[in-house]
Amino acid sequence: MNGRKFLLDNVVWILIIVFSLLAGVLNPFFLSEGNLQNVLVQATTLGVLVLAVSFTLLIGEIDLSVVGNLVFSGMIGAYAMQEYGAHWTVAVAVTVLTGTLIGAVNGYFVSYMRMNSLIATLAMGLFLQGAVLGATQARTLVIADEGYAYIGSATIGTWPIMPVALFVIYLAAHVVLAYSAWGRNLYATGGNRRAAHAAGINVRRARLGAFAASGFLAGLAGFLYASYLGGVSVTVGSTTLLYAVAAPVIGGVSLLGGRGRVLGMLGGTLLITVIQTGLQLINVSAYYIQMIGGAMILLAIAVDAFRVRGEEQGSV
Amino acid sequence: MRQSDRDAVEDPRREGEGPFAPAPTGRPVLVVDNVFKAYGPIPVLDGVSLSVGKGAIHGLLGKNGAGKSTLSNVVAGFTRADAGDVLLDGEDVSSLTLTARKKRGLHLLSQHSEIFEDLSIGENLLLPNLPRRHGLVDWAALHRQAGLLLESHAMHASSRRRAGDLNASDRRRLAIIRAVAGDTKLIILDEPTAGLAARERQHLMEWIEALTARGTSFVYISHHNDEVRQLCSEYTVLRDGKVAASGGAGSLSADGMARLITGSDVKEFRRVGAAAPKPPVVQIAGLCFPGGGPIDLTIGRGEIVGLVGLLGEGPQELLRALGGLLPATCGQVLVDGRPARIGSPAHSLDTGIAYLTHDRIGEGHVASMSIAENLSLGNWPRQAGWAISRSGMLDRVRRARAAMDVVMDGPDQEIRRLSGGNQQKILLGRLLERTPAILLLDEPTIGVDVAAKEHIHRLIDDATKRGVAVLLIAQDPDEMQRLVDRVIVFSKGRIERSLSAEGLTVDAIADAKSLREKP
Repeated sequence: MNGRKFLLDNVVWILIIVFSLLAGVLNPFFLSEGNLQNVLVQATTLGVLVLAVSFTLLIGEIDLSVVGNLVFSGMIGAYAMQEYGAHWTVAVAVTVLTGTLIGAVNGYFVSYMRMNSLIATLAMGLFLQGAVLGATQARTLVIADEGYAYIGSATIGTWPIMPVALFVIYLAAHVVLAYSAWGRNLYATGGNRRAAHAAGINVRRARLGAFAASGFLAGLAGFLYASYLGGVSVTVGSTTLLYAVAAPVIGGVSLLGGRGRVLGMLGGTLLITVIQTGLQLINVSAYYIQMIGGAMILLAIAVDAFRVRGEEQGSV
Repeated sequence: MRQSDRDAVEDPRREGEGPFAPAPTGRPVLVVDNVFKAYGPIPVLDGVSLSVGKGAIHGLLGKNGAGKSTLSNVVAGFTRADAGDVLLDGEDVSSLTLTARKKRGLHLLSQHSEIFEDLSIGENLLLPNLPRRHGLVDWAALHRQAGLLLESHAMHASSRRRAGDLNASDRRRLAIIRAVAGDTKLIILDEPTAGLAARERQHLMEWIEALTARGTSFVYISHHNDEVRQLCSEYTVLRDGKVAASGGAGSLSADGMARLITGSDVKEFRRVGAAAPKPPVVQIAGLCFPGGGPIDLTIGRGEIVGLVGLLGEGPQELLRALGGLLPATCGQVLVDGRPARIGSPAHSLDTGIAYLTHDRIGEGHVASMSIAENLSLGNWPRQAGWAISRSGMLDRVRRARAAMDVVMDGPDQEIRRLSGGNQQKILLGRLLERTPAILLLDEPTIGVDVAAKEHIHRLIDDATKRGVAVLLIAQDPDEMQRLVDRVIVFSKGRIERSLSAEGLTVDAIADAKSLREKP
């Protein structure tokens, strides 16, 4: 029974191993050091977005504006350097601050004005992406500043340093969510909002805080992405948002709020990245990659539903 | 001749033999044969057998965690047993689904009455088989059929009314008629009278009894032993997943029943209140809130004041307003002479006003969090300002365990795994950790077994010895009489009168309630 529970809780890591071995058999390059670097670099931006969405899932809401937030705050940072000659450190601060403010606005909408988070953040995301489209006329903003681009391009030996950012951010998120009063208040609010309120937790502030944190992380992702690409482009893959929502669920974060571990979020991110790169390397036609990705997500979530069903027998 | 309950304890498998033949007429409707069920390593049902006669009301008794809910879930088909059979009218239904069992006339009505609030009573009764004409709902026929059903079950309400507008006892009636309406053989009723006033309970019970005349059988789960003794013709007591006793209900005394349920003698706690006048702790002056006020009330140090009144007539609303869960629209509250902010639970708690909800699951605990976290929720022991001190949380668990005798696997166990009584102790412990000036207790022993109930009474009394004042709401007049120093009677949102020491009898409290129940 406990063995079964352990297996189900860690199904994402098992899937990563199984899929990696499979891809490795079909194309040995998949298991090379070079591809491992590639996977980790690819996982960095997605991973930070996954965290952003997860913070809102933990309180039983959702933030669909993270991709729009990413490009918009990235653009603001780029403009700060191009138009105002800001130092790259200032530009990074401006990027992250923009993201946080957007998140706080989302939080105000949802927490204080009681707007539905699914629709409000969807609209916010459309608005932001549209704003970037209009402001840039769909042109890519090139970032030439070496300081700004450092984290996205520097290497130590042959190893890129970008994944270091991923692990540092995840470690910080783990500490905050597992050990801080602020983090536990999020879990309590997501687990039972009325009970959290009655226990004296400021539920509105906690909910606003979750969205602000989501915005902060989306801004951070905006910086990392711009740093990696050496510019800001409005054409972030259209599937990125889907993956950013699917990865936490694959990693065991409950859509109903109150449940989810940071390690699971990381697992979800890595599984999706491994599938994407793996399919490319084994020469699956690009036209099928999206389909297979969707099927894998369905499978992982089916396992999740199975796990939940085991806990809550009799529910419809 | 009947065997004494003592013999029944020593030989738990006597049903179906001699004087215990449980079916008054012919073969039993329901037979549960040697059922086992375990969650993880812990057996919840450990070889349970029982049988229910045709037209009988079979009382199912036991503490929280004794296995009553699991047994009803196994019988109704919500869960599969690991071993053993369930026979309905001689047919083995053990491997049938919930829906298939319903079709055969076996229903489970849980505590939360399952009605569609936004649909009419008529739709509630006939779903999912609404009468149709040309593929569309035939409303005239629907209300005609529903009206007949209501009439034949002695329920006086228009089938066109919105079901959500019914009062609590009529909701239960509606849910029961819904289940009885088909060709129903057996209905399991889980705490059908929970949350109802005394008179309503009585009416509902008589109404249920009348239904057995049609040959419908009931399994009746209740914490109220007096209900079972009054209503049931046969009974089974579960303890730790085993049948502790069973037989005809008439033979049991109230004490005997309580003893069978807990497995040991439970001594009823009775508070000895101090007679001396007490210095005031909380002064309420002209307090208004949605549903009541203005209220003036002074509560002294270590005093327990009982609040009596119908649902919606003031007592609960006053407690919720004081606790910060309802907005106070005028007036003020002084705690230890200082004006208190009561705009939110956080403010109330900070000024020493601690509210314990009657809705443990909805508003009390966070089910997905651990015992330790639930005990410290909203009041985290901190280190370095931001982090939660694990050792601080464990200290509190240790204190709660020592003072309250909470049965648990460990501090990191999820709170939903605990029995209702132990969950309630944790919630009370959370409030006591804040060393409040006043405790607002809204049904502190709701859904709690006999032993835990007495323990909670003692904890409340202990708190008053430390000077904590208490406002108490309790449905059971007997429970209230044993605990309170005086009683305040509410009517239509205002204080109508108070009963002090000499007038404080169980009857007087019950009367104060039932007077309010007249239209």
